[in-house]
Amino acid sequence: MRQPSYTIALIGNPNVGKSVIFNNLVPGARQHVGNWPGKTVEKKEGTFTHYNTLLKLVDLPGTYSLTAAAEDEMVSRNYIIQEKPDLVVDVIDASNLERNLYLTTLLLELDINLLLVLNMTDIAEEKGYKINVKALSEKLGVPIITTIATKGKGLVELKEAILKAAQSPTKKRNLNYGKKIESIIASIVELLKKDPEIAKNYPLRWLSIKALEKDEQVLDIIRDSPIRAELMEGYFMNANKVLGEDPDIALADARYEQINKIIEQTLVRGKRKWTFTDILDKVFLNKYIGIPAFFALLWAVFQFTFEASAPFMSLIEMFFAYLSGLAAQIPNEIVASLLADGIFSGLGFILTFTAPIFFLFFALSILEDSGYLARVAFVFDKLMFKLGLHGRSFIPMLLGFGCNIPAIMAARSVEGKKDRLITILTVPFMSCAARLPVYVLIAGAFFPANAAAAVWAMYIIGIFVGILFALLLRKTILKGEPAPFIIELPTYKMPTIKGSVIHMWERGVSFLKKAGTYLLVGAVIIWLFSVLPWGVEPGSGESLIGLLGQTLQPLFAPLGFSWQIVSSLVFAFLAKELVVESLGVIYGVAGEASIQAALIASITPVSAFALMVFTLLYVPCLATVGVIKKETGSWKWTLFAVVSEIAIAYIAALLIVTIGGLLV
Amino acid sequence: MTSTIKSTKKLVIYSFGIGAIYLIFGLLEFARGLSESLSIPWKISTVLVSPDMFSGVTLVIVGLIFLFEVHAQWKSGKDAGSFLAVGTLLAAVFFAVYLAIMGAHAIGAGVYMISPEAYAEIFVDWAEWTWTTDMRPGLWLFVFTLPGAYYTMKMWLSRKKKT
Ligand SMILES: Nc1nc2c(ncn2[C@@H]2O[C@H](COP(=O)(O)OP(=O)(O)OP(=O)(O)O)[C@@H](O)[C@H]2O)c(=O)[nH]1
Ligand SMILES: [Mg+2]
Repeated sequence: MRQPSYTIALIGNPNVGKSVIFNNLVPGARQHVGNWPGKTVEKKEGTFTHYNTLLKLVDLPGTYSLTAAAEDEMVSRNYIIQEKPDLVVDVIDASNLERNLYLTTLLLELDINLLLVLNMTDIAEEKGYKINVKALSEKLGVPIITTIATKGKGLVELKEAILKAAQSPTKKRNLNYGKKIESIIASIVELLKKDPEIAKNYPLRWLSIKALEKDEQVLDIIRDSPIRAELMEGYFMNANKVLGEDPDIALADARYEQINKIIEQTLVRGKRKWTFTDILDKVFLNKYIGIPAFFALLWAVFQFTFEASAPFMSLIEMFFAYLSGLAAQIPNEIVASLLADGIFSGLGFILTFTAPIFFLFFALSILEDSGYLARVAFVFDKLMFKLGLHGRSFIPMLLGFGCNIPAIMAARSVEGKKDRLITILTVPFMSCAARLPVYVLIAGAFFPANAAAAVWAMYIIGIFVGILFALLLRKTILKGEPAPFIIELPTYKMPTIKGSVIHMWERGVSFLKKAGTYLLVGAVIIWLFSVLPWGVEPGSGESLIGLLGQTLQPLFAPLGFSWQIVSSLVFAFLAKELVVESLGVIYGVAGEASIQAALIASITPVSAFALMVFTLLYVPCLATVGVIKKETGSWKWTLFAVVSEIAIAYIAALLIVTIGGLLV
Repeated sequence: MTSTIKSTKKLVIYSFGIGAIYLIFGLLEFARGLSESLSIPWKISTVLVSPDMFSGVTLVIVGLIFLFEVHAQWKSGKDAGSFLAVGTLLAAVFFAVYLAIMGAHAIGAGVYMISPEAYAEIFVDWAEWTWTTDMRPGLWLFVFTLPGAYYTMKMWLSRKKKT
């Protein structure tokens, strides 16, 4: 491999289109794109060539400032400051210049090679904005490219500009923050020059500004310097006196003053016209109708997932029934059993659920791309904040509907250690796609008339248990106030079929990969458990799986679960899909209908509902446990998560059986 | 907020009418769903009122959105468009979902008819499917929202032209 000649970082506010640009420039890149702030939480590198020059591009999490408050913003800040890329590309939402330029001023302070991208110019135009790009570029002293990333417009020019800017860095120009501030900065710069160690390694104007702002990391840098005492006592005291307010506030004001001046000279707003975003938000953010509208939409999602996917499930089932029939003819008894009873009834059975899973992903993609997801967080925030919880948590929670793992990682965008921890601990109650097969199977068997509604109910129960659990944590071991919640609501965008299909596919493929690996291995193991010791009736009480189930069954007797179900729950600790897979193997009958018949014979409808809730609430899968450990960095919290999830699942199921028993 | 969709009295009356229809059919669906789950059958065609409590509730919600500010709009003459537009949008979402379901079930029924005997059992759920099986208020009520959708589109297009 050639060494890349230049490293280029993509930075900008959240949800401005950085990842779209990254995906467009880097061949084969698949960064997650959606219409809500805070998707990218880790830096991602990729390379592309332009005129034979190899360029390394880095997609960074969105950030509003370089004073990091949340984990993901920290990543961006550290990258820019410590890794010192050759060029920083600041992506700006052209329809929201004022807010976006704040970060630009911070970057200008940093003395780095900067290139500006005015993205989303289509939306700016929609709003009636006219931007004088040339003037803006002159005022800021940096080159600017305008783009519409989603339509690929301006990207060729962007490549060109990136290469040019990387090869010949722009002479930087600082914004003038006014006499008072500038003279203070200048005097601190002079002082810092006295420490050669510092003078050599950092841009001094930036260091002075950050020191004035009492940035913790910068104060750390200065801590061991001989000039520290002088700085702290003489200069800082003086700054406070001269400015008459905290220097960080004075600086922020000065930046905004500069921005406003520049905007005045370069932006013509035109008459503000109504947009569909105004109209939609009037209803979706309405305090009375917003939440019911959300539940109605969610119900539509599950109606679609459950009903429309059913014939496709049957098609897949037909395919495996055919294969199973073929396998049964294989003369070698063991091979025939492994294929027919293990692979095709186990793995094949779970694969029939590919249909609803893909349908669900398709529907969720539409919600995500339209920009509605961020609204849900917003309407729930009022409620959540009253309960002492952080509204931002709601976005990771909703993402959990797809898969808990990225959702737990998305909690990095939640500010505040406690809020983040609470979010991580509540996400596992959100019903991920792996649990869907269990609901579809059981709801279809026991509540055929209201199956979609029963599935929908699981998601709602998940949300409420999550909120209650968060509340409990907030009132006991994680006491405190939530940080105030600010979310930038993205403009609504019409989701395209193509975009949603791509999203569905990206998520769905991970399910198929899982099926080809873990679930396949799982099927073989479960099959082994079901036929050993060799010679017993497969999947009967004498097989290993039967012994396992029967040993543990007394624990679950109060819930009315049969030993077959208990052993499937044990396997499902690895992955929730294994509930369905092992039931397929244990009952040894092919097809959804016959397994449903076997289930109906073995448990009551109330226990069946309790089983759905139990599956919903107990530990999602081994991989989630791993991610919780990684994200919390603590075995204590991981163990706490596992134990509390099991306990809550058990208690909830017990409540259902008890109350249900009284009613039925 | 600078929403400049002018509301005429006509528009407000229209919102009220359509909201009322959605509300009524939603309540009927809910009532029938409830009563049939208690084994009290109704003699009306399911095309007109399908027995489904949850779908009934969603129709009620759509109806309420149409009706939400009718009173205030009538008095102030301001902004009837937003709630009309969003109500229409939600109605369209449900229409699309029910249509997709109907299409999917039609496929199921088709496969049942042509599949070899050994596999027909798998598709037995759709053995007696006809297009009326999945016909429900959420589908045909949508027709009534079309004038509103047309109106919103027209406002949107004329707004664009003004640039
Ligand atoms: N209309 C329009 N939409 C755009 C444009 N560029 C990006 N988008 C959309 O804006 C949304 C956000 O894009 P992303 O690339 O995910 O944003 P990001 O900056 O990476 O966001 P974070 O990772 O959350 O910080 C997506 O829905 C894109 O489809 C554009 O030029 N015009
Ligand atoms: Mg991104």
